Amino acid sequence: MSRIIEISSLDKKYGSRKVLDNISLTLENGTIVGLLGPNGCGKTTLIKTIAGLIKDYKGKVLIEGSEPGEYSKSIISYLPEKTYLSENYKAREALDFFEDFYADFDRKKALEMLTQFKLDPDQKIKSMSKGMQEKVQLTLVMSRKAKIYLLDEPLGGLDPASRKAMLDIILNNYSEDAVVLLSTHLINDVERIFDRVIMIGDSKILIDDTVDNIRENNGKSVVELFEEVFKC
Amino acid sequence: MLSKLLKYEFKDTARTIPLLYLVGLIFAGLVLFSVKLLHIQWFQFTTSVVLMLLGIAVSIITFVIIVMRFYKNLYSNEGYLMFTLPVKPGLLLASKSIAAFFWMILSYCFTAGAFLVSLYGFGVTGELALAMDEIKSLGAEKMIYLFIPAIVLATLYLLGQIYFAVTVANTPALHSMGIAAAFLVFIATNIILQIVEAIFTVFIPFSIEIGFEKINASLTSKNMFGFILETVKGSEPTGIVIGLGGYVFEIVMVCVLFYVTSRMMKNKVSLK
Repeated sequence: MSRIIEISSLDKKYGSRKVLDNISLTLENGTIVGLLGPNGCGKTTLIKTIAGLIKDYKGKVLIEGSEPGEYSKSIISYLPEKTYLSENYKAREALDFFEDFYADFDRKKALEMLTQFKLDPDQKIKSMSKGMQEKVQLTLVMSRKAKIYLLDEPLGGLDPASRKAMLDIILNNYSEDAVVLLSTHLINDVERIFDRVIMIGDSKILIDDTVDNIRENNGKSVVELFEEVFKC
Repeated sequence: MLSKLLKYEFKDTARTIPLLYLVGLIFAGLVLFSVKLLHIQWFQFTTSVVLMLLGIAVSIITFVIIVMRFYKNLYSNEGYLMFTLPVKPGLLLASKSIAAFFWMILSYCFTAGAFLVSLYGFGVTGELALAMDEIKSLGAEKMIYLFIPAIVLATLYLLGQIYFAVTVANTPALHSMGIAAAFLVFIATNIILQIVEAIFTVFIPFSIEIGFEKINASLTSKNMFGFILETVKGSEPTGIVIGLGGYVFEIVMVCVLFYVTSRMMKNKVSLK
């Protein structure tokens, strides 16, 4: 396993409010990492920083040794929590777009996934429900053979049955030598897929450990530990 | 990558803009039909008026679509896709600028065409031909060609200012102000640039002098300020001196605005 993401002393503020405070972590390939924490704790900000969408941060963020930029974007497959596809596109046109810009995009795989999700490639994005739009986006993102998958709240707008299908899609389609960083606050559904979890609260990393260690050292599941750490 | 970006830029903008031209062409057809075949004066007049208004509307709507497209595609939710593509931000800007420039120039041509057909509908083409003959007799018909680079430059200058303003408004310092920041930055930038441009136009000793007797134009090292002073003093001018310093300033600023916008997109812009 090699370090693919290295973050050291990362600080990010929105105005006077600190969202990320002295965050340091490294992510190795071949792992699925859960980024957990309550709403507004900085998960999305951390993912956006790695994706290269936030530039006004302090500290160091390195993707395969270089700062977020053109190269890192070619190896990162990013799923934001928002719908980022043009509403005028049909699902098929979105596939065309990804095929044109990402050399690692597998169109055949994408069409199979759309079928699996029972989505019509010729349906316009704007006529789809929020859940359907999320499925199209996940299809696009997971049809790339990327080195890094950044999945920001991929389960947010889905019903429980779709969540399970979504997780299966993630598990079955990510490249074995890649790293998956998946943020969520719906831990019950996803604990089973994580190798490691990072819990963020009050803009700091509170827990960063493997799932096996958490269970062994604390005698608790990730869900139980999460509830204990973020008890109201 | 630029060709791919352009492909999608034209594809997306072509969903709406050509519809405007189609409506305009229908009305142009109606004007010509009523002049040649129908001979109903009120219909001829009404369609000509509508066509003229459409001509103006097409340029304005094209402009609005272009500005909204830039904002929506780069700085709203769609920006999450565009700014994570493995392309240089400068190429994103270039693709938007080339497509916008194309559509704007096309809209000007359409507006000019709509005006000509409308004038035909109003029955004033005879007067128009006379005016053209007058211009030709003065030897000034070639002067019309000076308008073409001026329009091209003005279009690029406007695009540069708008893209700059929208991009500045999306830097973290102005996030809290939302879209209002783009308007404020545009107004402030425009006022400052206009003042500096006016100074350059009037004081830089690089002008074009157009003689009155036999219309001819030549470059001169006179500045426009001297010409204005002479006119104010009441001396009879033998021609007009138009400062070109402002145009030079515009050319430089087009380059500066696009360069700075591209740099900001690369290093400063953070999506909300």
